[in-house]
Amino acid sequence: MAELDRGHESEFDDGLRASLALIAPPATTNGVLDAVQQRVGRRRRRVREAMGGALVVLVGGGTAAGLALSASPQMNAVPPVQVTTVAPGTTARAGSPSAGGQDRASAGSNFGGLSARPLTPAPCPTDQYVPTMASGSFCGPTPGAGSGLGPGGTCTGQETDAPCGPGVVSGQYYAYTVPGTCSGLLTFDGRQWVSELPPPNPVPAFDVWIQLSADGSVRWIAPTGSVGLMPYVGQSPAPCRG
Amino acid sequence: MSLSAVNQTAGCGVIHAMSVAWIELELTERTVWVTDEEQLARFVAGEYPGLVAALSLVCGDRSVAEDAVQEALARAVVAQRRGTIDSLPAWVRVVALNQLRNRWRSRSREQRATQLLRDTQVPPGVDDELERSMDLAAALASLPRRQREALALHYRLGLSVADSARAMRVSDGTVKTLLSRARATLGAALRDEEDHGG
Repeated sequence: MAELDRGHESEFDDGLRASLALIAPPATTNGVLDAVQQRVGRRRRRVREAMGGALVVLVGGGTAAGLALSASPQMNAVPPVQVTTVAPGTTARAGSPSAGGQDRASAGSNFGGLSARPLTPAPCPTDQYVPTMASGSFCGPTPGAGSGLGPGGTCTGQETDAPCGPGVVSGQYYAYTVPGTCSGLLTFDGRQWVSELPPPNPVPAFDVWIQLSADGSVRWIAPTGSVGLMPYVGQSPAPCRG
Repeated sequence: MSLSAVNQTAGCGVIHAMSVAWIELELTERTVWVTDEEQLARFVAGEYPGLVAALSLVCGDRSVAEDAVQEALARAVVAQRRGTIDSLPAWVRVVALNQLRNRWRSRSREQRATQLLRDTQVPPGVDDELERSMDLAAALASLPRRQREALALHYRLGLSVADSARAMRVSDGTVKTLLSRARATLGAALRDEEDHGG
């Protein structure tokens, strides 16, 4: 096989290259970039459709969660509880956290007539008290609504207590409601922050756990994902993308 | 209401579904905003024509090759956001080849594709070089798929043995073996054509 080395290429090889180039001439590039963007767009629409159905469900289930947690906004005040996965409207099996994986799968496959995609999440550890995305999906207690004075518990900037107002303790998770605006602007710890990943279009306010790290960075985590925040220093807010 | 009671009514199964969807949406959306479009455009202008040509030798159908490469590029746009791409051309080659292989899983599709290569006709009045190429196309169709892949990547796309191996996810030695066998088969087939075709 040494004849395949560059120094030993034969006339046969050159002829082969020339013939292959004749058989398969270079493709044209007209419209390729548009075609690729269209494919990306189709992927985005498929995700949106899947997400739309799930959001409808979240509104029903999330309200109760918000009410219950508003009295105990700090994560460390919440008793450690395994997140169970019983769909609203179904009979809850209290005290059976080990059944979570099965419930999650069945709830996602046929919930309220919605055609959610089949789910194969990694099971959450039974002692997962702190929210995490380490397994690739959210594990931990379901976040509740924030304690802000705005709609749904969003912060208005007028609050004097943490987490909207100053006094946030680094390392602790706080229940917080993200307004869901395109600008990504929000108030936390008495300061304004801007999301590293604001939604492209307005979405309903949603509940998250938010944390100020020891290094001063801020990040929220929720079943919808995890996003970092940057200090707002007057940068232009992101416009909605229509 | 205790937290455990809340969790029982929170519909976590569906929330998880949204989690997956949302994250994908975020990734896709953000990618559209921050993707290095210049890098993508550079790839299309520079690498795309040759890659499609090479893959059309593998599958026998240019439109299928284009579809595979464009789908790989669309996935690259998303994967780029995740920071999982070190080299866009190398990544797209691997994914596009996988796309084609997925199609091969249907045996009948493979047969149809190789038939396209065999059926390549020599237009009347063409010169010897083109006629020889048509003979080569027919001989190419008789090669096993992996030999065609190695041949297309090395001889048509101009990749080194090492880069061809990376694209095919096999060892360098495997590529050398595949190339050697392909060359032997093609050489013999072309000699036969010359002997019989006069």
